[in-house]
Amino acid sequence: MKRVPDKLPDDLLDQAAAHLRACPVPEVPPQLLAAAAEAVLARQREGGGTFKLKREFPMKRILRIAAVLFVAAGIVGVAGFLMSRSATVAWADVAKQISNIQTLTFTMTMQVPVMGEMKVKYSFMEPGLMRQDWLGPQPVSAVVDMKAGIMLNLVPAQKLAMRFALSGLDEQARAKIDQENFANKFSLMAKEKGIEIGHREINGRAAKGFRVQQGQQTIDLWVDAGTGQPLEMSMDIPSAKTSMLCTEFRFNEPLAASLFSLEVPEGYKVQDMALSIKNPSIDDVVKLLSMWALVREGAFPDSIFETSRLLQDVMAAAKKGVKLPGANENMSKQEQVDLAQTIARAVVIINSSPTASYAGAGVKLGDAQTAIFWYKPEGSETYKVIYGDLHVTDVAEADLPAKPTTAPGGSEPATAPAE
Amino acid sequence: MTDWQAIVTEHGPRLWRTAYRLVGNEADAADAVQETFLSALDYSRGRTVRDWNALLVRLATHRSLDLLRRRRRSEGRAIGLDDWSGVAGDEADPSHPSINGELTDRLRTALAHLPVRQAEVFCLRAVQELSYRQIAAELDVSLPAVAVMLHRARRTLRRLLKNDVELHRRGLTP
Repeated sequence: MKRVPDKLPDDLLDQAAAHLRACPVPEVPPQLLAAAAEAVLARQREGGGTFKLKREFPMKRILRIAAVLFVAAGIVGVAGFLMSRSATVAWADVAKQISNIQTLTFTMTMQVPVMGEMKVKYSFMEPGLMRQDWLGPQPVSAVVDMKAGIMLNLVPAQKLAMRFALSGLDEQARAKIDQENFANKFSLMAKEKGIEIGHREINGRAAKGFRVQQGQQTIDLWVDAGTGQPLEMSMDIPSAKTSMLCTEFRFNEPLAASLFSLEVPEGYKVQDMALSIKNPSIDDVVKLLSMWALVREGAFPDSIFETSRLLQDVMAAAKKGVKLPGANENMSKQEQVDLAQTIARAVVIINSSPTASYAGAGVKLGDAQTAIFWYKPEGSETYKVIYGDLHVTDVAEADLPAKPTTAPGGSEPATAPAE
Repeated sequence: MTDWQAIVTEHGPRLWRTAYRLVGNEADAADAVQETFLSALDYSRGRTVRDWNALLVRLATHRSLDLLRRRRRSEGRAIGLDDWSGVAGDEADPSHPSINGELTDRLRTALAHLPVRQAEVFCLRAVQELSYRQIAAELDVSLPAVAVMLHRARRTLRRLLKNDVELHRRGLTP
């Protein structure tokens, strides 16, 4: 064997140090500096003189969990994750404009605690094609073909492609999720009534606004006063200190098929994974609700039909140092896949079961008397009911709890409407 | 009254570069920067800081090395999401020539094996390019002590890299 020259390691050390000094560094994330300043000022206000560190910006953990949720979101379809299926905003004139949507693109800007501004571009094309591009310093894209059961996540910074083969999604659930897609959601909205909130100008166009108050969530929709085409949609979630703004709507404009291509770009490393959401069960919903309540410090969310709010709640909780049960820094790949699958299976039940109802608003974890979620599994005579302490019982339809008619702070039903 | 907003704005970008070069990924670098400012706040209570830049660079280096050591300890325990999500990846930037990426990664790994003070001295000298005098002042040690620690650090790193190169050539490392 050829011996390594004695001189080489010394040179190698200098070379290595030089490479480290020359290592390209991405721009500092602006939200990091804001968060750092906020953390220091908060610590200063708290006082105390200990030198012990508290991790107040556990970005790595947040991003890991966010990635799990991102994967879960993709499995069940982007739309089901983003919109409440009970979101009801009405403007009769818009109905014609949105009744036959073949393509749709828009940009969503979210203001999220800790993470700051997050911007995502969404594209939809029939039949069942979706794409989301998370913009910013760490762009990530996901293409979902629900009919083919394939999701492709692309991470340009690392030239990494994660290809997920989705299985276990039965036809009924698939059809339901497809029905729940964003485009169809607009069609459903057209059937409902909202409160007119006035007129304003958006990008030089006269706009007419409608508002729906749902629980603590306010949804404002602004449409072109002349054509009825949506121009802007905003949602405020005060409890999560989060707001979302959807803009740049484009309906039925031709979209390149390449936008939804499932081919892996050249030079990307491919990681193939199989994700199954076969046989979703009440246990999955129990785990999701447990996780959700714990990140909300023991309080169940006002609604579980906008699952994207779980991501926001996780981020808000991370700022307070609350850990997400079942997720940690040293999760193995399989554990992360399992967590994503659990969330996805729960979302399938929540969003695709016509009998799913939720009544957890205002309920605290541990409340054994209050039913918070119930649904009737396919082929079952009875309902599965989850209580606030997360125990599950089988209940006949006649014995089901009454559905709440109002959510705290709002006038709209907190449960999903009957299908 | 310390203007922390101004300090974060002024020094944040440099600390980010310092941390990123040492830890090699954005998530850990963000953690290190955050912890650096909190450490600086605790350190500055009840005393006057004459050179914020030097203090913060030293703390950022310390925090980054701490993260490298933590990472080393957790190696083999689990595969992180990093290796497939890319959201908080540990991999070298693929735009780097692979050899450079490997070399910097091997140096990072080697640094995690050094005693804390030696690793700090090496980083402050070889990466931050501080003078012996600046390092001595910042670490509150004598000039000869800096020289000795640097010599020992280089000797150990040289040995670790040499072993690494040997194993690599024999195909015994990843």
